Amino acid sequence: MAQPAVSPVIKGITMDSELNPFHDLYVTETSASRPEDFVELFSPFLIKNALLLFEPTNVVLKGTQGCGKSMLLNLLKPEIRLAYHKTPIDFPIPERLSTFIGAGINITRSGILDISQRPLSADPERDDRLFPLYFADFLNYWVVRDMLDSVTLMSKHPDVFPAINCESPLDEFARSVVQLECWFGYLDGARSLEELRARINTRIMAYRNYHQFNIRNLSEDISRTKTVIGEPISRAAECLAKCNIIKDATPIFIRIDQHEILCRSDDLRHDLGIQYRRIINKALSTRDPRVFYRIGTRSYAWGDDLAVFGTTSPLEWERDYKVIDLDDLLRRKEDRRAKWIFPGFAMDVFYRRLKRVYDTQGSTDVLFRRAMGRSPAPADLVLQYVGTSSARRALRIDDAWPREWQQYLESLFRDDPLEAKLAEAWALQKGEDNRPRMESPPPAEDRPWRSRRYWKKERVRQALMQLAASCGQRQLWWGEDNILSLSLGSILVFLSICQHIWDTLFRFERERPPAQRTNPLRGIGPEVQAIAIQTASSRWYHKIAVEEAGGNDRQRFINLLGQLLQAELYNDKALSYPGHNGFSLSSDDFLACPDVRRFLSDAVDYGDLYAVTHTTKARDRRQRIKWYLHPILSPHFKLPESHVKEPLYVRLATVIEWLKRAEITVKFPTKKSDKTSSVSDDLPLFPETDKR
Amino acid sequence: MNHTFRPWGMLPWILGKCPGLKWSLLASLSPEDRCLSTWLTLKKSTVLTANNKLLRIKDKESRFTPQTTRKVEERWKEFLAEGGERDSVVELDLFVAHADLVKTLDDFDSAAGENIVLDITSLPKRYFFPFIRRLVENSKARNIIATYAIPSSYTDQALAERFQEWRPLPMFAPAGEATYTKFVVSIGFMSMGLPDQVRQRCGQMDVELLFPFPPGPPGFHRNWEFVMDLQRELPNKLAIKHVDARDTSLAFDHLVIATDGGHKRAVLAPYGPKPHSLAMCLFAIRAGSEVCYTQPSIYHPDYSIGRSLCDGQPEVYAYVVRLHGHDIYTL
Amino acid sequence: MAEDLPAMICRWDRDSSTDIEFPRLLEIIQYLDQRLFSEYTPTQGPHITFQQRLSAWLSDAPNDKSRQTMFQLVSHLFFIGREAYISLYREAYRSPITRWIIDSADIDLCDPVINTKIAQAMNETWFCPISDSMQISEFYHANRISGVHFRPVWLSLAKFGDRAKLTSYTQKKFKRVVLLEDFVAAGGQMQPALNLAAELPKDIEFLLVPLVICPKGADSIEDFVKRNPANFTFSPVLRLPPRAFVAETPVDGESPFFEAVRQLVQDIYLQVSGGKPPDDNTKPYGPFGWKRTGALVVMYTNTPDNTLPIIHWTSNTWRSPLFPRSSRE
Repeated sequence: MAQPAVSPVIKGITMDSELNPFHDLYVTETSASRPEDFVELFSPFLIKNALLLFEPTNVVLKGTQGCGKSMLLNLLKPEIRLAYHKTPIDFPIPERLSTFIGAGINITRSGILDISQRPLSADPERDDRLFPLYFADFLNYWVVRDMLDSVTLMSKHPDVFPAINCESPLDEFARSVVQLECWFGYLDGARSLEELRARINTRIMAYRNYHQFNIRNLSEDISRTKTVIGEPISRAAECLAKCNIIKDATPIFIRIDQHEILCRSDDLRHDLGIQYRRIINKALSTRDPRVFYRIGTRSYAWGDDLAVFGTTSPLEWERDYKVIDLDDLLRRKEDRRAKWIFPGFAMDVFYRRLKRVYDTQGSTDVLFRRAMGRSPAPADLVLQYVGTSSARRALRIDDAWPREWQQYLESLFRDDPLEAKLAEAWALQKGEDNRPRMESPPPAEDRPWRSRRYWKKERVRQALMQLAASCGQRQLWWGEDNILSLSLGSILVFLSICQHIWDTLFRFERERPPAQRTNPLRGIGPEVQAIAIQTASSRWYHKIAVEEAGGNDRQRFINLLGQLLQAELYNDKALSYPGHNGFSLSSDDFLACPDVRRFLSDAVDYGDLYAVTHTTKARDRRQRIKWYLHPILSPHFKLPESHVKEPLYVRLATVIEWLKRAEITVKFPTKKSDKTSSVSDDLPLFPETDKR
Repeated sequence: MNHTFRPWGMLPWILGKCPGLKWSLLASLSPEDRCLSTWLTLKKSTVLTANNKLLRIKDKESRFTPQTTRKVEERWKEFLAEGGERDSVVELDLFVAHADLVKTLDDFDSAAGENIVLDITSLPKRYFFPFIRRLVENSKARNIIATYAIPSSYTDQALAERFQEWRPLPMFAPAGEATYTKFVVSIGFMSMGLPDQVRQRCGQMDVELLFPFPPGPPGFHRNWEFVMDLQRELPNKLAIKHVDARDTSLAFDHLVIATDGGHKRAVLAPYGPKPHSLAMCLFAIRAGSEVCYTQPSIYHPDYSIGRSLCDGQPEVYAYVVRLHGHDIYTL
Repeated sequence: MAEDLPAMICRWDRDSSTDIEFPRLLEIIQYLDQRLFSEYTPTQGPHITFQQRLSAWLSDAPNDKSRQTMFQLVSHLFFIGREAYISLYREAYRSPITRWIIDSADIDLCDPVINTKIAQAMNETWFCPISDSMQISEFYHANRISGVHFRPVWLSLAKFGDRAKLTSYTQKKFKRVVLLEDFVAAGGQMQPALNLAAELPKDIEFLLVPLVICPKGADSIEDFVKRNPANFTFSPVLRLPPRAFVAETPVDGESPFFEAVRQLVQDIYLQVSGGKPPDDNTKPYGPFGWKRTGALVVMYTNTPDNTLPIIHWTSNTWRSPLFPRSSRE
């Protein structure tokens, strides 16, 4: 049954006042969740932008945690398809693409990484040659076992899975698999699907037992029958078609989860991790007509190494695999004319979450807007920040300024504190020694900064930040636009903010009788939202160290960077550099130092920073990359989350210095041309920047 | 009596109940003052054999390395001054291969004799879990004791950093295909990525927390924050069991009950005090449970400070794992 | 009229000069309320809720700085709930008591019927409370001890008991006695009970098991045992360390926050006490409580008077204690 295309009007509300619709953030991400919860909460919004995932090609699905990778990959699992069938909700993949078989392996949970933890022989060099081969073999057996399980499940529900022809006997298929040469006879003797599965399981268990030190050796019948990566999977897929279990054109999608662990785990020698990745790359390079791989990974982790095991040629993008970059898809583009799809996605998810808890119907965007309201305009914020502070305090008026200016600013401040701030900045721009450019202020009715169209727009956030800071007030965020901006295209951040808002509301209204409690769907007050967003921001900051592997280093760096940028923006009284809530490095510099590259890439991969390429405004027109803190960290660091004008231009040496000050070990590049070998310890944190 | 007494208590008390026995010790030489508490107690009681080993386990290089190295030097000097043998120390990296862990234990075991003390005080879980397993399943020793020494205090900074992904501890991966219905967490100070795993893994599992009580403050408050942060991720109400932080036996009993005598498959997460981790280790060996952890790669050099004293002696608890050939922790 | 707690939190949170995360603290406090504080017996029944008490308590403070310190103080309280006490009963029985029994009955750890012998020895042991605040029947139920009809309070025996009858009964029915107490602060209150025990024949062994004990109390009992080494053993379950107290002078390892609390309780003592100057012999016994202990302990049954009076005292000028104490006198 199709979903209603047009939303009816919002109707009456009932609610359990203690039930937070956003309590469980990861329902659609985890395989541990109940499939029926997935069905209820999954938003099909992204499907049309990620159709490649269901097409017959290898796909690398990139994105930070919580961007929706796992959510999309879960659609490939038969249990999820089955769950949809039990509800009136249509399976969200277009019918022409919904006929496939899904199978997969989770790198961490399968135990495959134990291979290399125990020697296979007395010769370490020989072992190093063998470990990748056993890795391949284990992966083959695991995936084929998962394929068998998928086919078995699907064959029990022919009405759900038209891909499967249930009249074809599976035992016959099993026998044809057994006879495949790629097994080198290991499966001989199995005569049914059940026996085939048992035989495959025996081999997997042998690996497990060996690495648990339960048995002395891996038996010879394993060592003599190692399979080539991908081949058994492909041949088994062929058998499915030959035995008429599936139509010839039905693709098999093989998921490989947690791929990034191969180069990030201390438990695995780095060189071996690279070999294991190359084994997987080899599987992709075969470009099998039937079997297609889906690799969920973090963005930078994928590009580290594309070599194919046993060859000199690397994988080729577009030829061997295609990429879906969810972060890129969901992030707002710098060109504001480009459509930003994330708000639609977020609101759809918001709507589905609320529907579970509240008896409501309504259009998705109206529901969200009504709950959160509009974000504050500068005029709304400035009085909150300034309060009863004096002009001298709020503007940090310099006693050395001409008396006339001081009076002008104080007078203007009484009418409009924000205008006073902008006036001060305008006066300082192109002034010298921190003095205004003109001896006398402009006439009262004249406000020359207003004539420059973008000048005010680009500076107002920085102005508000300085006002708040000088008056000892935190900045405030609330409302629809703010929440979306702070989320930066991460559905996880968005849900987390909503979770905190609901939590804060419940917490504040705990003592009120139910009849007096706020109905969130009719609007949640700005104060509640502001506190919740501040709390969410601090929680995300703390999460960096607590919940992310290797996060302590990144947290120290983020902390240093956040404070530096905060100081940079606060001390810029002239509001000359409103874009200095981020920093920029030339691409050459970024590539010059592997440790810096890796560190910043990891920070992006984990969502602590985000990066955008840009072209310098300098004459050399060199390609550069700019980094910003994830916007959700902006409240914690008291920074504006929006990005205007040019970021802070720095050199590699500066970034290295930052890393050192954050107590992160960095190896300096050694080539003379890198200009970094002479970094001195007393290099200022902010050297001469390009003034644009 | 409605419970099984499994011998444990202060080390001198246990030693007093095993008169005449000489013990071989496997322990760790670390920056912590308490890393020598067991050795000092055994030495003072003159029950040490000549076959003892201290493992110097090296963290990953970090900003703590100079301070850590200095403190280990101090412990080493103290060890020598108190009569320790120079060739007792073996250096290993934190992330050696599983086979090297096993070899280290096997080498010690083969030289050790009939009575073994494994001091888990400063041994990372990545080490002591497979060591205990190997001893229980492989060692011919007739008597095996695990010991744990109490410090004066812990640092109030992060105890450890740069933790790895959530993985089974060496030799504690799932034995086969299994449906897990129980997730048991021992509560500590630092969650180190656990909430993320709770979300990912425990969706349909019952969750039980072993809350270390006693002791009380100041750790008490950090424990409750840990629980609160976990609760945020859990859709279901969770069961909290108060278990004395020193009581391995009671923790073991709770695990037995929680899993219906081991019949329900459980994933165990040892984030709390080491005696609780020891209980999880011993239980997992018997029940085939998976034990997962986010192993840190760096420890704070002031992880713990000082040695707690009891009647003038280092406060060291001993847990009898095997006594006269008879295994104590069974289902 | 008292400021609404949420409004207070909002106002405090807006101040960027502080790093204290007041909303997070509120979350912690509300969580502890849900898990622990709501068990507090003296406020069960027709009584305002914890959060209402919290708002009212904060409103009594003279200024925002005091309120903020008091608010932070809540998360430092050591609240021992019912479940925690039951675990203490169980731990007392399984650990110090069982080990003492093994020693007393000279049971071999290798004995194949060790558990049977321990059970037999437990049957020969009398478990009694020192004061009536020790919930002795809960101790018996938690450990499923049966067959003991009389469980007299030894403080009452010390006042009213017949020594000869007590001796005769004890020697006839039991080989040893375990005296339990829920909370020992300075140890003064239990002294008459200990003295009574010391008067009995030396062949009756005693084990003293405070479930929770403060440093001064531990010192006091250790002194007593040194004077009576023949048949007394002391084995507390939870010994609170000195750094868990807001003492008059700073203690090694204490939380840096305690300095602010130390200052606060002295600054506002006259308000808390209703105008009475600090006096060790007059309630509420000074800013740091009875015997200047400076405890932060609240038990689900009551708050001891060793705990900071700011937490439990009621006066004309301190109307809404957070955990009002139910006093014996």
